[in-house]
Amino acid sequence: MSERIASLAALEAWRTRLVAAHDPKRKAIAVCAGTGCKAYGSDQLTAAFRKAVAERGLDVDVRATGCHGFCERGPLVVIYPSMIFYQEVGRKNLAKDVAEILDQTVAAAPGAEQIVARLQYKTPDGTPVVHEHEVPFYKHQNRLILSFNGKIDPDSLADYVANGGYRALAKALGTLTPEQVLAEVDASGLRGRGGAGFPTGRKWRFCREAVAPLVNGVPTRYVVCNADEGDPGAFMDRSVLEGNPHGVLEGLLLGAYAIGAREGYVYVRNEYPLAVQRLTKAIADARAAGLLGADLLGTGFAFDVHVTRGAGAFVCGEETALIGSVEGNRGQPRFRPPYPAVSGLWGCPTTINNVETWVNVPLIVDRGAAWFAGIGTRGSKGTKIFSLVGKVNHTGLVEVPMGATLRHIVEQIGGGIQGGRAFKAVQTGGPSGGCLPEPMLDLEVDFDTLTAAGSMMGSGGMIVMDDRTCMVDVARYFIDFLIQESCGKCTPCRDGLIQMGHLLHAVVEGRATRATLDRLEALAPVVRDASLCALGQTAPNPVLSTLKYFRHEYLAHIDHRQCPAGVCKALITYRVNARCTGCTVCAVQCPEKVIAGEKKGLHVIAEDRCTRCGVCHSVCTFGAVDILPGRGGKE
Amino acid sequence: MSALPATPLDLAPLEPILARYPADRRSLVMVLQDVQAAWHYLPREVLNRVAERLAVPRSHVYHVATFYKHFSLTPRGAHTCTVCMGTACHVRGAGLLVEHLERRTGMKAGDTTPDGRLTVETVNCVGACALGPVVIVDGQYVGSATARKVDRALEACMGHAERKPEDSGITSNGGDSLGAGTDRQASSVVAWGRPPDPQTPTASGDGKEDTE
Repeated sequence: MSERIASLAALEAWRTRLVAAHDPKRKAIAVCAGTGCKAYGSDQLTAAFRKAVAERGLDVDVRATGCHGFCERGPLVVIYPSMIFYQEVGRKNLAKDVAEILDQTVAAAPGAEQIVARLQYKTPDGTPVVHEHEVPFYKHQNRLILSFNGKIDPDSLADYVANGGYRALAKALGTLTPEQVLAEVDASGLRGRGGAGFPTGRKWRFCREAVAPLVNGVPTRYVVCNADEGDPGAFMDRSVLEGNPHGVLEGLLLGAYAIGAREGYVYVRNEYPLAVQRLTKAIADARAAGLLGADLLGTGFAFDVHVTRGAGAFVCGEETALIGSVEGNRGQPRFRPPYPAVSGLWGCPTTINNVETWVNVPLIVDRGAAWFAGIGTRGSKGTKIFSLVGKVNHTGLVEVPMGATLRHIVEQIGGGIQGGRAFKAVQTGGPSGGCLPEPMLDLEVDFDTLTAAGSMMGSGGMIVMDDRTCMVDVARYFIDFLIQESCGKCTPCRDGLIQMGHLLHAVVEGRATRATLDRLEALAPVVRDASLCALGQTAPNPVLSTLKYFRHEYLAHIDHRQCPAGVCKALITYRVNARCTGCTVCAVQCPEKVIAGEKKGLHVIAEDRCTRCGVCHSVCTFGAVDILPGRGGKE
Repeated sequence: MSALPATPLDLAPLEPILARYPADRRSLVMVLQDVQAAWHYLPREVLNRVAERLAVPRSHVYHVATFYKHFSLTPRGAHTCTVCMGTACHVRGAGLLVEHLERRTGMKAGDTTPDGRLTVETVNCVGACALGPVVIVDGQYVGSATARKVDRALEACMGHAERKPEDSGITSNGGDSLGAGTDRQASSVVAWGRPPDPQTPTASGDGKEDTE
């Protein structure tokens, strides 16, 4: 639709036409066009499907959709309406995969489809799975927010509208006062998905009730979508923006209506080019359709959105730093209060919420607060998207109701640990969070339980670690990350983290004593208590939680000069075992040329000259290179 | 910072960038983004002009330009190899990939080869965590990356013409300013790293074309 939608009635009429024109029995091929699948060539796959469908003269809709979440098995293809699921399509033989799917599955009558067995998902015990909802990764999820992702073409406004999009907006503009919208969000119990879990309704109320300064004679408030998803290991906001940009816009529209804002900003990380592209397209389409701009849908309400790109600064995810960045300054946090709800962008009251928070709003307004409050735990309502990554069998995006256990997520959805190794820890909350050990797996995940356990919800990264992950190295990794990302404004964070870094490097390099740990434990609370913003205040969490749950690993580094996980270079030894076939690959690839051995003979690494770069271990296809804890190969 | 350009920079590509935004300090970050995209770094002359046109002190321009990691005050390579150092990539061995690239190119991550052909850098997370470890070669994602896969991706893109497909018209207009007078001219350095690989096409020819 290119012309403006003039009224609420016209929007509903358009929706009715779209739904009527849609034949639910019509076959459709949905190809995932999320970043993960694109990396595996889903664009070429979509093009090949379109070409082949045209050549065969089939009446089939080929659509590139948002991220399906099961990124690891991409490119993913779902055949509608039977929901037949194919994975890794076109990775090895694109032309053959496309032809077989079309000829055997798509061209057949519904119910008579044949399945291309080699592209099916198979459970760990080898049972093939036909339909998407039967795949364990999806079966154990409850997808509300992500449900749009696999269904709609993110570049199509019509798709969004046909699936109920902008219905909540029409409801609000037609039948609810701004106060009623606010009350609905308040009653739903929605809490901010950016990490801290502050009640969204309360935040909105502060903003609505704050005195708005006049800009050009108009009282001005702003809404801002925080899409500066900097937590390493988290990508749910990226997927939502890429897969359902109109959902985020509709949330912003509803928030603007509730608090009385006429302008909004979406602050997107520079590392997410596809999200910027899709969002920009969605905004242009919404403007053309009269869903953004002056007098939208003929109701007199006016609102517009701008996209601002970040420039690579993790701290800009902090709301006052983000405001500074949008204003064209350094992204450095400032003291709160005043909170942005009272004095934010250019001194005006500003509501800042995370992508996932905004995209929940249309669902709440559309289906009602009571429905939303019926999902989740006592203190945390609704669902939460986690990015389940690391050493787990099924990596990808997982949406579960608040209160699902870690075990449910890691074992049932994630399918357990890669290669049958032993689970060691799950890291939640990014650099602000902590590492939780095996006994904590039955924890029911919500904002409050994770904080009580010494970790954090954060934005929803969930990184699974196995026995080959060194917990000291993980703590060092996060502190190094935060040293780089500290904005440098306050001393406890800027200098305190550098000192913590020195201490952790001493541990991983085998120079530490037990006094090192005492110093770490003395310094961490100072950084936590004295830092200006949440970056510094939560920075010690990865160290404190690993010290609490994995102290024995620190002690192994200190007392025995061994890295039990085989990670810390100063404290490990590479050695060739009896499985060596003498293929010579390691000797050829060794950058230091310290591996000796005849063809077909056992190879030997000169351990005194080995730099532990790990090349031999990664190139050996026989598992013949062991990583032993300690120098000198002591077991 | 490398030597100053011997010939003055062509500032013409800056005009359409400035025209996109209101001429005040709130546009600064956006303007710098576009300058970075056009020149692949923030040349001094351009920053001075930006300061004048947005009516902000030069000190403020540098204050902002030096804060964000995306901005570079030194010229970047014609090709970029970015290793994701997110947590998921880290636990799956991204550090070993960085070391491999450092060994292969004989420089530290963050540096550009002396011939200006390649920059190797790290990034904190690109949000493709399910594919980890991830390496991005000229915008192409290499998932479940291994040293070998990265080498192949680099050889594939560096063997071809220097100009990146996503480069805007601005870049080709300002092509003369890109490398003029700096150490970016195609030198006799073969391929993109050491040791020289006889399989890879040499830099002569396509490298010169870029700096015409």
